[in-house]
Amino acid sequence: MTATSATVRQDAHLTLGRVVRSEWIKFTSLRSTYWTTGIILVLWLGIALLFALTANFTAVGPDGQPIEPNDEMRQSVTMTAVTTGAFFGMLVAAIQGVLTISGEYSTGMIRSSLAAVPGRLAVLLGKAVVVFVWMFLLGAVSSLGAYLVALPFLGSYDLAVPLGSEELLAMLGAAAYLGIVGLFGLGIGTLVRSAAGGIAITVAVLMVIPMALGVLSIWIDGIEDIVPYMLDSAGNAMMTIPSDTEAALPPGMEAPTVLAPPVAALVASAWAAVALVLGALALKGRDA
Amino acid sequence: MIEATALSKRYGSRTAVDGIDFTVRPGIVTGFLGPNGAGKSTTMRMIVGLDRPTAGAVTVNGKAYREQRAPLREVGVLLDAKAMHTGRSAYHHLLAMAATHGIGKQRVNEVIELTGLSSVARKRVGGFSLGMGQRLGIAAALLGDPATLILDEPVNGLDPEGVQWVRKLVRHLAGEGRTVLLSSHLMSEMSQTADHIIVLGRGRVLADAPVDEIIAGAGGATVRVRTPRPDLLAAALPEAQHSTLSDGALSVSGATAEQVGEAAARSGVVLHELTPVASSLEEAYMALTQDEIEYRAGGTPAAVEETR
Repeated sequence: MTATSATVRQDAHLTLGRVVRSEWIKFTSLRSTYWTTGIILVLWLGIALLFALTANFTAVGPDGQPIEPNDEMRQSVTMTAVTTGAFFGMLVAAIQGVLTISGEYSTGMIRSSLAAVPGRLAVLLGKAVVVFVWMFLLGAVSSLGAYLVALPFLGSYDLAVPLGSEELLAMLGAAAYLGIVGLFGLGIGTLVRSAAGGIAITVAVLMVIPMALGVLSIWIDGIEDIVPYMLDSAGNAMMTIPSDTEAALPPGMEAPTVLAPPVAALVASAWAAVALVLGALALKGRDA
Repeated sequence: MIEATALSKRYGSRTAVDGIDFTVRPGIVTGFLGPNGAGKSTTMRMIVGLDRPTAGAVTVNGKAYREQRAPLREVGVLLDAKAMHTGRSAYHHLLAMAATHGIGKQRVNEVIELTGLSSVARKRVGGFSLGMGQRLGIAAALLGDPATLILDEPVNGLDPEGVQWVRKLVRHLAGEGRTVLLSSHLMSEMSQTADHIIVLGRGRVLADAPVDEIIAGAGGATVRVRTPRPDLLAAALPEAQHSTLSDGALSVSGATAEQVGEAAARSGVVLHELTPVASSLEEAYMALTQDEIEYRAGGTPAAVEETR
């Protein structure tokens, strides 16, 4: 080694883009990334396949006789096949978001990361970019894959619709939601620093609290007004094609409130933003 | 150049670093020496901005570490062998670290070569021995070809060959004009590697001097003497060196306890104390730090109970 190495340029320095690149290398050089990615794909496509195989049962009237499918029904069945997998995918995406940072704390890597990037926030921002892009692309590939897997079977029952702008927009919503849930997990993971704690909190927010609210709303008035603003309800709304006609419901029952997709996207983003800001404040303020 | 002024760190009621001042200069190897819990690691973490000082400040080349534009080129740091993800390969660990500064693959391969990790670079870090982890930590510290190196217990877990290698490496790096700060709780290790030693105990600087001076200060054997007439005793021992200790006793070197006693008898000087003080490097270090060791072994069960 010479006094100055020829392979380190004298102008080598930190930039945000380089930190993003570093985080990309970190993210793609761990096996856990490919495990979670594979699990999301398999679950999503598997559920689409199962649903499509049994879709002919949905084309049955209340009297047990087969009914002639209409366009609205075709769209509803097709989109159910495409997006149902997202509800399992979101849990795994949230866990991946948590692991992206908690793995650094549990192994000690965080000290290397923060010593290289002492401003710290760039590390979190870099991870956020990588997690969102990865999960968004994964969500897009999964919903397109789900459509392709389901198409032959749905087609054979005359229950398929071609992909129009409404369908593609809902798929975009599903992909964006997967990215947002990943960011939510990343924010929570940064805040609590542990995989166990982070996963517990994200699963509570995505599943346990919504279920509890559903039960409580039977007794307590007003809770059903909160439900649409929960992260999972907003995610559901993001990938739902809004219907123009009021669904025919038995008298006395109200249709559950579903946010319009753009509003739902804002609500879900707010969940992720709050988690990330809390994580950022904690990361910036405490000793590593 | 690392400069600390009135640097302090408290964790709750525990003071880990207690208002220390020191300067680490380029071109030499400076050793941080002290028992466990003396504040060595905390001070190093504060230098690279991982821990925030409770009071005071520390700068690297005149600038706080957090404000450096190219931290990896300013300071290479080995904090402990475990500051890496166990699921990632050594190569990807280094590649990711280097990427933050736009440092390329070529340099990554260079430090892998330099630290002798070529055969295991593609293996996951989780399977590494302590020594291999230590080499990887040193490789990461060297990535940015930094002007300053901070190595916390760098020989920890290395085999004798590895220890030799680290000694040569840090001497070589200092010889190139870099600032090198390394820590150890082993005096013997320090005496072979460092040019200058800063002794820490309970978060305070106990000594800050060139290694020769610390060795000289530790001296060979000395004799501790208390007498009402130190002037007469000194005159009776013309060939011995003597100095007055803080408690008024006389420290005599260059004469044995017997010689001092006989000289005192010849000149009729009254002695209140005559104690031979055997001293080696280790003992000098122990003497410096004995009041400062935080975790003492061999406490009574009652004492252990009390601390729970």
